[in-house]
Amino acid sequence: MQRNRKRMWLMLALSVMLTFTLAACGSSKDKETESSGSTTDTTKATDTDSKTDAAKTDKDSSTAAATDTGIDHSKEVKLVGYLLGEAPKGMPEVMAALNEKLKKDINATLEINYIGWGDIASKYPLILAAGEDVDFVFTADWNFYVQEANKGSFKEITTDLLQKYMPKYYEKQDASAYKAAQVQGKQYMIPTTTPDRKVNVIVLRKDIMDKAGLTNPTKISELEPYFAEIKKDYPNMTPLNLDSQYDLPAPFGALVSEKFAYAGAPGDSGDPSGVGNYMDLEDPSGKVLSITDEPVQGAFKYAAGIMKQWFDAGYVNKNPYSNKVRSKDNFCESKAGVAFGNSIDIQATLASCKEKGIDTYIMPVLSPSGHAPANSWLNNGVAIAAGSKNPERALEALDLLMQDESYVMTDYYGIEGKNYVLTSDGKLGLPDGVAAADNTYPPDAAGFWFVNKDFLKPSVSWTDSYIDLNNKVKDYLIQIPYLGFSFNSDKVKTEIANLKNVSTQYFLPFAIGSVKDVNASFDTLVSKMQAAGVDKVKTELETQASAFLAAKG
Amino acid sequence: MKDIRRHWVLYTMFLPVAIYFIVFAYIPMAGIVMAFESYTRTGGMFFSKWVGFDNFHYFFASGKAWLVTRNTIVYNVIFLGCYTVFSIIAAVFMSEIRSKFFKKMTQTLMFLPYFISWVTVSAFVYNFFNYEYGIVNKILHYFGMEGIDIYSNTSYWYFLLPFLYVWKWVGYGSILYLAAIVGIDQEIYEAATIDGASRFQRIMRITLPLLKPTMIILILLGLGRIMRGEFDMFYQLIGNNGLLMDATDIIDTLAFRSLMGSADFGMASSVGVYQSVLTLIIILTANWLVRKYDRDHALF
Repeated sequence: MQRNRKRMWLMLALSVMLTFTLAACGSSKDKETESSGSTTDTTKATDTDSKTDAAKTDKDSSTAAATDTGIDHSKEVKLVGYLLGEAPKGMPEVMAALNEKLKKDINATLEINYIGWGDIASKYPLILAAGEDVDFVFTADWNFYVQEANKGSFKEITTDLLQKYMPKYYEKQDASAYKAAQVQGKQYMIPTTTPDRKVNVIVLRKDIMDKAGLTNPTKISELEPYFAEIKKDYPNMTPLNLDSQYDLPAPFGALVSEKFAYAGAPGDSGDPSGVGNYMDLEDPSGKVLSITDEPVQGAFKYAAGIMKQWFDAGYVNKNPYSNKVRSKDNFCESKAGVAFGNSIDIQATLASCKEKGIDTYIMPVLSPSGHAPANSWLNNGVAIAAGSKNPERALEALDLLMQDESYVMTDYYGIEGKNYVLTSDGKLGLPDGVAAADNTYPPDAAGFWFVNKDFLKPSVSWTDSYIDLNNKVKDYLIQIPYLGFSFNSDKVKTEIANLKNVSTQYFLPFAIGSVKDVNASFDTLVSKMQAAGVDKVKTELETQASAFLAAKG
Repeated sequence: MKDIRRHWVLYTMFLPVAIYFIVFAYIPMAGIVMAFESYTRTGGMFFSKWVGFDNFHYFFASGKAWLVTRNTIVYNVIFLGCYTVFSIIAAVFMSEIRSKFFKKMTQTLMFLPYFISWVTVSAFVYNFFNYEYGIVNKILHYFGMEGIDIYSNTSYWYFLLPFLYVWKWVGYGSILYLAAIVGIDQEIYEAATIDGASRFQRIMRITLPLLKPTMIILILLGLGRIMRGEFDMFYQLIGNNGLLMDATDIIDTLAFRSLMGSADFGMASSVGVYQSVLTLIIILTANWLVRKYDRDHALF
């Protein structure tokens, strides 16, 4: 018996050991895959060094707290940031360059990880909730800022912190931006100092336009002959080749915009205007509209009617829900007849079309009065994770990344001589022998959208029509009454959850025109929205909206 | 205690399984409290605000609670039925095949889909049935026929979904049943052959009746998953296609779709709790039925 028991303990110890080794294997493997997806550039040795150091800092942070006069940089720290999108191929080199500078300036190294576009909704809250090793993270009013701030995922940003750790930023930023960023009276976001100046655009091919006999169209509804021409002579091209995320509601939104100033929020965001409550953005009274109110009802039926005609004529791909490729990414490959985007992210498309000798025509999507809403500060920003171990150093790093010209040139454009060159007239060009398509670090692609964009340069690859558009953008943009307003859906989350569901099931087919009967499906949409509690959301939205307008004066 | 000492080998063999279930099933059960809380980062799992049944409200207010529950159960019953029938047929065929090479070959080929994830399968399906340039439509066009558009027509999916499910799982299931067939005493077959039973008679009178216990246990275990929809499958194949949703929406996809953006852990767990409670009821009922008619084969 005694012996047996001994043996049993041995077995137990063995099995426990086995479990642990297995677990260890598993996790180290995880780490490997993780870091291959991420972009650490520091060599292994410094990597481990900085990790132990970070741990040390954490341990004696109370003693190592900075004095009032200066900021203590004696401990080296490693910062981890999360941005959206995908790491460009040239990221490791750019990170090496950035880290060299950061090490010198604030004794810190940086690791940037990416959350892919398709995973944002599932991964973004998870990273914050898991309290994973994360210091700062991209955030925006369209990317869960208010929801996550409500949940306490972000660290509060105070004026003192900004003055002390982000002096360059503080000097540049407009005070009203801080106000816009407040959620229940507290600020959690570091909004960009330069809100984007962009409009949504539709890009067409000049050669097909000529064939279709179309000159200077200004509205999407005028494009019927263009689509017909594609259908006739370009069998491999789908006129409206929509993807499941961005493009899907885009043509519908552009059609509705012909009737009133429509915001067109994507269907699955928490934004109430995506799910049953609308506003005429240019209406100074800021009245909240239901889907059955005019002009919404008329405009929706008008847009859905046209979409249905186009869908039935085969101008729209039959299953955009499964298509993950944005039209702007296969427009130059002659697979999509139209590219949807905005005047900033469309640059790469235009450049690669130019290289392929495809002439393009750009059409801004404007409201009936010929305007587009100016972007708010909250459109791009960054927040410090609540679980950050080195928030102060993260703020300092962000100050440099956002507001220091040499940093901005690196994080936004890459390495000079490799990813870009500056021409004598101060324009941005590509080094000899590098084509736009094989630039390993294309402008804007790395997700540093919150940097001070006043440092950015015009590009030599811009087409005349793009330059023309860019000059006009300023005139298109107007300050809408609700600039900077963000809805707090905390009190109506049940209704929002159900409305999102209704939106996916009944609104999206309506918007791409795949329904059998426009009027009948509109009525279904309305009744389902009412059942899901759209009126309750409207009441809540009205309360918040009028409080916002009153505070603005 | 005495029992443990006497059968210590058996108990040790059981240990890893016990640890697994304690770590991955019993400890996480405490997380059920989240379904009754308004989760915040600071409050965490156990100290967030208690909101009672508020989190359950959205699921029943969606007006689709009954629809998705029915879809989940109906699809899973069909899946389980098809899976059991085809697995047994495949296992019986396999056991009757004499050529070793052919046997191994079919087994491998049948087992292969088990390793393919639904993400990949959805890419297959998309490329087969895509309206514009899918293989199926290209072939149909070649023969001068009208193309089919499965992505806006629910009827195709009633066939396609069970078909894909069986295609993916039948290799796995047939191995379980094959193992049971191999375990049947060969002497029974020999005796039957001597008595002049044909091959068909041997299958019907010996193999199938002797498979019954295995079948009952596997079905009872399968019932445990009946409220958990095959999320990967539905989500990857159908995605956000509104036109197909009334026919293909299951509890898991509905919850995922409505709660994705808000990342409200409380509301998400409420759906999990709902599924678990229903599963518990179904399992208890099924086991009770089996016990009533066939006491020996019940799970507990």
